[in-house]
Amino acid sequence: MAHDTERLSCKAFIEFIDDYLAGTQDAAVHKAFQAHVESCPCCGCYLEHYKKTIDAAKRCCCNRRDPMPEIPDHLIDAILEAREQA
Amino acid sequence: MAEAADIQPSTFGDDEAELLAGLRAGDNAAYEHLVRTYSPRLMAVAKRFLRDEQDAADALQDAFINAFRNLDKFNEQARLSTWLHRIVVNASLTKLRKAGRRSEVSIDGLLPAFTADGHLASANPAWGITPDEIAQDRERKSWVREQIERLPDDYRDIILLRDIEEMDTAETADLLGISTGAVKTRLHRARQALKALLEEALSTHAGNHGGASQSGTTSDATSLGGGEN
Repeated sequence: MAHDTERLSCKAFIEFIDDYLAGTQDAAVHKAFQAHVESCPCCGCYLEHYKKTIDAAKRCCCNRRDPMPEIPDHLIDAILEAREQA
Repeated sequence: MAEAADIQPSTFGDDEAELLAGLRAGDNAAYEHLVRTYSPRLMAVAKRFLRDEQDAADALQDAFINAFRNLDKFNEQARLSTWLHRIVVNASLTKLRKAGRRSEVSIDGLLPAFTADGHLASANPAWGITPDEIAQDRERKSWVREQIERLPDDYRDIILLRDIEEMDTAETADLLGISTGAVKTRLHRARQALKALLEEALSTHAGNHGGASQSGTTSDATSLGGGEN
């Protein structure tokens, strides 16, 4: 999608967030993105919350402190028996 | 990759090569070691996708059988844990597809609104809590998981694949059978929708466990957010 990268709208800014997070913005877009976030508190806040959302999802679903599920012996046995049949 | 990269074989040494050699030689002890060592984290992955304990166990079993059959195709430049992780994700997605689930809920109400000149129509409410604080509170953590589950299936799956399991865009596209462009678009919409669900409650219920009032299911709803439920 073509954008006037000289001056991004909030809508265009938000479309570029994932490229920003992935570090894949080209130089012109990156410059316009930075200029926008410095001048638009709403988008600065949007970006922060967007990052927090990803972080919260990750921390809540895949927490290394969570105990690992216990695997019952009958399931281990079933897998190993299936191997022999396969 | 999320957790599987941490897995290290123990009795077969720190080097996966020894375990792999045992597997390729048909050593029963190597197979048992593989299954016992890797199953807990792979089961955790399957449960994130499938929720149901029995479905996750079935996916785990399917994944190992698939791995056993394809051991000769394993590229030794890769890590065994990474390879198994992808196989169990694929087994879980296959099981979801077979279940035929499909939610037609619209997330348009959760996407940001703009004025005619492209400005955000409204400011974001403050969260009042950090992701780390959320993750340290069992109820809030559970609530965040519920919000992910509220997303329509396609959006839930893309969040799990990209943000939780940390598959890259190309792998995700391959697993879902869609283009990389579609992965990016879907992920962006999913993240925006999840952001709206989280902040809607976190901003107003930061002190009472992240907004239990928002935890209703949407299985019979036709839209999320925007007061359209």
